[in-house]
Amino acid sequence: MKKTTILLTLLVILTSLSAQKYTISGYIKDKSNGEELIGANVIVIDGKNGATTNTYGFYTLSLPKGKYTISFSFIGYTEITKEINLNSDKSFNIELESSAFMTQEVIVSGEKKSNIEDSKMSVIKLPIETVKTLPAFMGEVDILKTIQLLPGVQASGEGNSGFYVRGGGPDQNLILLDEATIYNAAHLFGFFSVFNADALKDMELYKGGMPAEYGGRISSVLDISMKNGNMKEFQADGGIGTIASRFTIQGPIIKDKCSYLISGRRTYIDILVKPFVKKTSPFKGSGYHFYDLNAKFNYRFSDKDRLFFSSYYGEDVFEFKSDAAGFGMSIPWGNGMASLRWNHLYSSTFFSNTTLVASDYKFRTEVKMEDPEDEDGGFQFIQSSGIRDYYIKQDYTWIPNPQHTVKFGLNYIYHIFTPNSVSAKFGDIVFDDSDNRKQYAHEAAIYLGDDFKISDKLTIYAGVRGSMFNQVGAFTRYVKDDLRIQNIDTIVYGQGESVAFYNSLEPRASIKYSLNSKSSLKASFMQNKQYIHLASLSASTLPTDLWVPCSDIVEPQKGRQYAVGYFRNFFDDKYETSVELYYKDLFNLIEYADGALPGDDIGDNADNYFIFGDGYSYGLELFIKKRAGQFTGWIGYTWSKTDRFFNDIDNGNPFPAKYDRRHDISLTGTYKINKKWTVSSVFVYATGNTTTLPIGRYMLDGEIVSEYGERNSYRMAPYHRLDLSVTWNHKKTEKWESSWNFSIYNVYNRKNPYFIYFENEGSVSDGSFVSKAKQVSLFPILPSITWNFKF
Amino acid sequence: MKNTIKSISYILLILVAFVSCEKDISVDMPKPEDKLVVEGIIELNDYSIVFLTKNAAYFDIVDTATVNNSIISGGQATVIVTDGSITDTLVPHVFPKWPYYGYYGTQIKGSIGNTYDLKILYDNNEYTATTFIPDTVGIDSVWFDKFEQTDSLGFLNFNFQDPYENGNYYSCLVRVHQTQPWFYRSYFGTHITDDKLGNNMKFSYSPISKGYERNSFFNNSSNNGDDPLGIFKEIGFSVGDTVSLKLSTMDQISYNIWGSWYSHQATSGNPFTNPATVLTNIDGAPAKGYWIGYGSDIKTVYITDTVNIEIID
Repeated sequence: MKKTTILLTLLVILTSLSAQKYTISGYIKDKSNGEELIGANVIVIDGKNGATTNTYGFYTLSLPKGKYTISFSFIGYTEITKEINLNSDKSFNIELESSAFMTQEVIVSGEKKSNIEDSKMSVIKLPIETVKTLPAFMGEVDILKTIQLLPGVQASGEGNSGFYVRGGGPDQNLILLDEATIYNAAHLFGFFSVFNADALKDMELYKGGMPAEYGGRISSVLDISMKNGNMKEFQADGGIGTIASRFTIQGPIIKDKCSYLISGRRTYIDILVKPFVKKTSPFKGSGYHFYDLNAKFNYRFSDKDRLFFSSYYGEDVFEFKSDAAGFGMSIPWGNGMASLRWNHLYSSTFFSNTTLVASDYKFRTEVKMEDPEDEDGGFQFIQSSGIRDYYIKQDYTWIPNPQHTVKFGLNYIYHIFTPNSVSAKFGDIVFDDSDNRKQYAHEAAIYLGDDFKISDKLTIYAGVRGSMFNQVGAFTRYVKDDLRIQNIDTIVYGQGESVAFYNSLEPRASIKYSLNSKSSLKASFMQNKQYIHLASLSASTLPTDLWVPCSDIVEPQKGRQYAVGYFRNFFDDKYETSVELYYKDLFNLIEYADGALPGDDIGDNADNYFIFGDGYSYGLELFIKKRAGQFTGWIGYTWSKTDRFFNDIDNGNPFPAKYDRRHDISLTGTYKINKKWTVSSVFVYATGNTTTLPIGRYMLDGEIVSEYGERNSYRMAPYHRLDLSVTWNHKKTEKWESSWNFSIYNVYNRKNPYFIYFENEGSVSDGSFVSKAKQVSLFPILPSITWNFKF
Repeated sequence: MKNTIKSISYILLILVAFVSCEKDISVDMPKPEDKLVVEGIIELNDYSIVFLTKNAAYFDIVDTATVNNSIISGGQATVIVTDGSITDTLVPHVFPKWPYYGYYGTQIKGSIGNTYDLKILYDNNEYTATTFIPDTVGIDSVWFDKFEQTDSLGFLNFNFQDPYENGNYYSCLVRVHQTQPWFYRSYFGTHITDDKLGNNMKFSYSPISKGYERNSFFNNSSNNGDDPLGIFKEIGFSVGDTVSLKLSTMDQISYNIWGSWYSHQATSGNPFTNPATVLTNIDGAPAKGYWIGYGSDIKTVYITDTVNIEIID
């Protein structure tokens, strides 16, 4: 580590001594609302130099002394060019005007050659404006649904939240919203994500080649940035749809200095379903709804200092009430987060970012039983699980010269896990063991990475991340026997006493070689460790899935990924294509033991029921995208294989992971008929999910017992679906804009499998007994209408 | 958590039912290996009882003929029990409970502290198992709890004292003399328990509901929907009944088998959980089932009236 630092510093000093260089730097913003543009391009025309704006809309570019024509551009905006005479450090803050009609030139110049030039491979940058051109699922633009259309990223199937990246589980994706970790990014059945697109600005997805500033998850990083809020004037956006409605207000508190943004969304599925519930049905008083709230506030002290406050709160609430039985049950679950960031520019080539975050994910079951005759006031039972984080991050970016971009920093997280806690109230008697169930841990990391542009053709990124994890008490370990039934020992750890300690060194590297101006070759390597895991009981992702930390019996998951790719643009950059191959090795994966039904953790620990094993995944990803013209869209195809092997399952033979998906195809197309009308469509096809089915039966004490086949040996039917969407830009005046969106989800009403179960019908005595396999599907054809407005 | 997962699964299934649709599909699955299913017990002061059946593929035809064919009886198999000195070759016998045809010992009666080995020869295969009869634990006080809604029906309950050592495992079975030829598991609740949560304490099985012969293929539960007291008659004991309560101790392996069986019952068919495999202690060749030694204590009571119980035995 020390040697590398010295070497790096020497290299940097040497390369900077070469010529007299000056920097141009500044912010690129949207002219109408002052919103910083992330990933905007600053390119030297007729030169080979360029830069892009960072998460704060800030760019910096070092050039030798001289005269240049610089182009400032971003997708959806009209390009601005400036002639400059660079004889000292200069600052240019640019405001780009959004283009009313996206012409070919606008789109192409906006994205330019980022896919060819960027050394980072396996990364996809998606500004929210691009996401908004795709079909709206049920009238709602959804970023999780959009990334699942890209190769290498797979939907978990009907009814499941979470997504899989290159054979990795849903807990292996780091999802960040303005630097805060979001643990559960989707509402029930995975239909809607928790992200309200009206409040978002940009997102980046790393499928591989993760730079050193990210860590803690093995497979991917989805880094989402919220909008800052219109700095110039008050703005309101909203939409009223058949399933959900949303409303956003934003505006300046002090013009060009400080602004706010508040956004909310709620579904009313419960109100819609209620009329269909029979009066006599025991589920009369039941309902389900979810809501999301985002709030952001930012203050620009000067060009050098900026303060941001972001927050999010959302909940899914499922309620089941039966007044007749005096019984009510409510299952709320959701995330909340608040982050405070201070962005400081020491100079145009050295800036820092300090972040403080508090985040909370909880899942609770509340059962209330009220017997009107019971004077004690009935019975109340609350079971909850969750995870709370407090963390602090310090990040630095240093650009000593045009050849190097050095990033370094450190962070510290304090976790409080509640895998399972129970509290009950029976009349006056209260039982609350929630404090006993908690698990505490410290996690920290330090990193250093450099993006080194060795020549016009060759760029290398090298980085390293050191991380550590320490679970501390107060904690009680109940040691179980081999069959996980009997407690044989109890170990008590005092407050702050170390229960388990892990650390790791994670090297990251990637290399890009430009073959010519139209194509390049890239390769990357990353090693990651993950200290918290999602223990999922079943093939479906449920809110009952537990987030558990590493402990004295759970070791960190480890992943190592190698990837190579070839990137090529055609027809004057109108078509972007790529081929990527990856191979991933996974270690210390977690599964629940066969037939494990974890108890209520009284005299037990949640992680006593885990078994551990390894796995691997490899695949090929093809991507063709047409970026410009009246018709745009892409085709993504992934071929992959993901297997696991556990000593305790099937005698250690490899079995497919539940999300092993041999083929995954996505086609999207958007056609702009004219200024008023746009149609778009999405078609997806994927090999069916795996499941474990019974293959035999026998009798034991008069009851039928099922014998199961090998784990995940059965493939359900393939998943495919077509969505269509039409947008009518109805009105656009200076004050008011409105549009209508009509979309149909699952146009040909394909019954995609959610799960399979078996039902016995008939009786044995008259010979009519028959066992039937039944497949349950979730979403049939679903049309929706949404009216969107803006003023 | 167990109950929560169960309840949440059911709630989710209901929610799914609101929006989902289902269809029949055909599923192609491999056939399971042929297995012998052994249900063998040896109780304190009684001879061994062994039932043998076979497993079947999931979609095989199930009718009276095939179910009867799955029972192995008579000369088809040889069943032997030894206690280290005596060898008892079990003889075919007809019992008053499904599968009716089984094997009964004649030489060895179970006694406390002994280990018993089982050997079965069937279809050119040899199956072996071993079990142990632990010390009995006596049933202490028994009492009757009348249902509010009826005049003469109610639950029974009893206490017992868990011994000092860790690792005691129990099962509770009941039999109403007037109507039942066999000891059955109670209508509801798990029949097994252990001393994990409290050792060396006064335990109770409370409430105990009436048992019944299960047979998922030949369901003879006859709850008359018109009779408002129908359900109470099924689950409750009546004044005037002579009831035997059996508290049996067993070893840890046996308890684990029952535990895994309950896990299986709880998760079977539930798409939101991983499937459970029922454990077995039968070795030698592919087999399922159990060979369990029970240290049984039986108390027979006569329910005189709604508050009094007369202990007969």
